[in-house]
Amino acid sequence: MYKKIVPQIKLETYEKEVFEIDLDIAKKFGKLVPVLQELLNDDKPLTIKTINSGTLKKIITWCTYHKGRSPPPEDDDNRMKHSTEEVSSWDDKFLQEDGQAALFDLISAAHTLDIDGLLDVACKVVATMIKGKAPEEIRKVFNIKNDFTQQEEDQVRKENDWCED
Amino acid sequence: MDERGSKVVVAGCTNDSSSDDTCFDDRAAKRRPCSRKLSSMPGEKYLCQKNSADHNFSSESNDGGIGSMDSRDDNHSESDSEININEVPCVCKGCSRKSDEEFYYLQSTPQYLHDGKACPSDQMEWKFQSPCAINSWGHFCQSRRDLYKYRRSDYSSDSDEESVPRFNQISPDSDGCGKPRSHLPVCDSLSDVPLKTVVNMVKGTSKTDLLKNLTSRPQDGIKPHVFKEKFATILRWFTECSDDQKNTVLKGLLMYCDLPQMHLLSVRMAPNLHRGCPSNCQDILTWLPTSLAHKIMSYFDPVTLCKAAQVCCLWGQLTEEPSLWRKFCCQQKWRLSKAAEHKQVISHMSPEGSIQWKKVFAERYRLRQNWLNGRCTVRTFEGHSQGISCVQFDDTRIVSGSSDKTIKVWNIRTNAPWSVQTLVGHSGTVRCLHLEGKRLVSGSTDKTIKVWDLSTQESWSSIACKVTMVGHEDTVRCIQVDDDKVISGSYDFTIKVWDLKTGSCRNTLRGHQAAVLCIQFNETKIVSGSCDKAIKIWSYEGACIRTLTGHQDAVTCLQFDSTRIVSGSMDCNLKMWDIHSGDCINTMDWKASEGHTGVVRCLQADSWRLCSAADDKTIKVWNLQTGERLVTLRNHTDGVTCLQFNDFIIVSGSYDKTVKLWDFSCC
Repeated sequence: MYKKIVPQIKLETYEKEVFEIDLDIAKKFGKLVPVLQELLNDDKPLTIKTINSGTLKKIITWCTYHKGRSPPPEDDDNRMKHSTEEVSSWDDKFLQEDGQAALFDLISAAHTLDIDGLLDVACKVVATMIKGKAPEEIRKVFNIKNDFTQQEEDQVRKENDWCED
Repeated sequence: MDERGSKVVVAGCTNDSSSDDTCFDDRAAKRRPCSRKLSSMPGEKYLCQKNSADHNFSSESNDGGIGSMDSRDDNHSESDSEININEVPCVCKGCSRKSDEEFYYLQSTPQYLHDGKACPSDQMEWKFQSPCAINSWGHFCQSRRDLYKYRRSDYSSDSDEESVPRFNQISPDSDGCGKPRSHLPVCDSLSDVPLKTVVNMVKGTSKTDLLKNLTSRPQDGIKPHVFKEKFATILRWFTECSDDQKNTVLKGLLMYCDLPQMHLLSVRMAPNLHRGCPSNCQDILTWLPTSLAHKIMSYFDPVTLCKAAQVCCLWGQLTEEPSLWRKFCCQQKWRLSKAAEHKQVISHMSPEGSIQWKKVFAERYRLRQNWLNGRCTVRTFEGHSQGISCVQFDDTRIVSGSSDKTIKVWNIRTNAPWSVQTLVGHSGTVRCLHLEGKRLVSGSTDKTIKVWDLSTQESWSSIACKVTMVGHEDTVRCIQVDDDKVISGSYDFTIKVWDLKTGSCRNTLRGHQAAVLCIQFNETKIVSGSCDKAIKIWSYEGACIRTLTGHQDAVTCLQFDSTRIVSGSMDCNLKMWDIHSGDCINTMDWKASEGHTGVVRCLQADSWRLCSAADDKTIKVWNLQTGERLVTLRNHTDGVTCLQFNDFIIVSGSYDKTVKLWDFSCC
């Protein structure tokens, strides 16, 4: 059977696992693209120590899913929007299914690889996790210790009491 | 390797430094208050190992080690990896497990383990995570993976046990640390250990049978004394294992655990999860670079941002980022008038010249909340001897016209309730006013329009009157002024355009069938409302472009912008019209919209709100977009005839002879 030969780039993860990624997927990797194109003819993979295989695999899945979908043009009005409603249910499920640690890795990796679309959507998902929660609830979700002194806490509460209504 | 002695060693950073590969690592390590070097992922922290000195990553740089590891690593995440989950009985029968996924176990968050409490239900959901060496136990194995050298070729290709490596060979170049004793089975493969433990029982059976055997779970188990002996053996083995090996044993055992065991684990482990981890080990925002934390926060709404500020010190610092708050301030919803914004921003300028956007926003937020909830202080100005018919204000003063034929000027800055100036000159009720800077223009039932100069501080007020325009044949009911002209509507059915300087009439627009009660103009058109129940749109040439009908009674007040006209009427209703098509978009009546129950006397709108005053003694504030009534303000003791508002205050006048100032900024 005829198989189309697609130019591929190689990425090596933390585990020294090498992934071969179609160039048209790697095109999502923002500022990395020139670097990757240079490496295209090189057999040596690009090592990205801060990304582990699981995360990279997820990233490839995400990029493949979103290959045909271009992000909506980001005009001023769009950027002003702080709603998280535009996260598609697929993205929401995809990003949340592995838990917080994986989501964190994903954000970190999307930042490293400069995948704007993924970074945006992942950040929105995290924001949704926090939205509408009281400080104590947020601490619970992220296992955060309240390190304010009583005095500081009173002060901070006073500074932010204008939003209580 | 300087982290080796610290409590938490993070894999990502320790071996990065020794790498000379093409390496792409832009992780910013600057911000953290933590003493440890920021490496990266919280997942790493989940596996805080007590004896971190054991993590010797330098051994990986051994060429032979890596070479042989590569083949293993390839397997690691492929479907035929050493942990082939398909080959072992599912802990949870309900869940579909993909072969390339690993068990997400101890490092998972407590709630995942608590999910185990749902064990008895058929939908127990175990969380799985893709193989992720940094996050998962793979981390532990890796630290000394050069000990485990075996290849896929070690497995017999067509045996039942293909994916079960029998054991591993100790590499000759191993450093000997944690070197397994010769009499111990070296547990490298997950399924290896449990297989060996039961191997005496079911020698010779294939793996499939074996698993069947295991899953059938004999109720009585093995004989107590045999169990005791075996248990002791297992314990002894276990204590002799290295950390890696212990992990492998545990992982292997997990594969054979059933619901009761999982439940036990959940219960026993819950209090110990994250024991010894840093307190914020799951705090995504703390561990991400500042820019990303801010990006996440940029999706918050203002209230969430305030709550986030109270979570902990670091979150508090993160939320102080001015750009987050400036973004809110720039949103249409939170804009004020240009002049008000300018003033506000200057008042929140720090000595160094930077703007404290959070405070700016807080003020706007509070202001808007006050409007939405009708929270305001009311000041009353008394002095007129008859009802008030018109009112105007600017930063320093309020001017009011009354049936007592006078205009009074009040000082808005002081709390003095008495007037500072009284303008006498009209011989009838002052029906309309327009204040702009020092210039005040008034219309009266005496059919004249007068232009006053408020800078004149003479007590004899007729000096202040600069021009009187005569021409209307009846009461001048409404006026609007710009730099060179005055446009007025009158009970004589006409609209007149006057020259402000000379006071001569330039043009007269005829068309209404009854008294003209309200007008507004811009550069291209004039819009008027009349007792003939119609609204007319005029060109400056004097042609009536369009007539809008729909009100059941006289149109008493109106305002338009580029897209619509809002109007109020004697029929007690407010209406919104499309200015281009002339269609009525919305009607706000007392029945469906909690509207006015008396004649609507006056209205004004800005970008988001609409205020209306009526004979029912109330002022109502409306959402301009939706037509939803936001607030009803009551304080006047008689019908409210006029109002004007800005972002902070409403000034209103009433038949009750008082002028009231409703201040929303100081609550």
